[in-house]
Amino acid sequence: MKKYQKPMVVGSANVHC
Amino acid sequence: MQRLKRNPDIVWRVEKQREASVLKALEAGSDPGEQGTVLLIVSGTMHQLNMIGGTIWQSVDGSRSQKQLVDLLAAEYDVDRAELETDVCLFIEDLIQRGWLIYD
Repeated sequence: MKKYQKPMVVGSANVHC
Repeated sequence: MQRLKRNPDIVWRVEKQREASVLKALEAGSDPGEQGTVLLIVSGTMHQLNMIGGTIWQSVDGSRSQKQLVDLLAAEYDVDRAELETDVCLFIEDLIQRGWLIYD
């Protein structure tokens, strides 16, 4: 069994070219 | 039952190498932290989903119900089924709110 992590959005960043 | 699908306007990809290293950590029972394994680009902003979030994202292709998805995850992860069900439900609702998942 794998360790559980809650599903979530972990990072957001603006894409600037 | 209404079918959910990914918003076709979203560009996304699975970060295979990252996914493999996170998977390795989870299998060893250690905490990979907030590493993203799926990258989404939504109207000029980049977002990442963690391992389970990414698995759910990839699984929403109209071929299985939410219950089947929970069954799938419950078999792989060390988690109470009721807790998992709640988390999956909240995560999917969050993505619907963001407009990333839409009803077909």
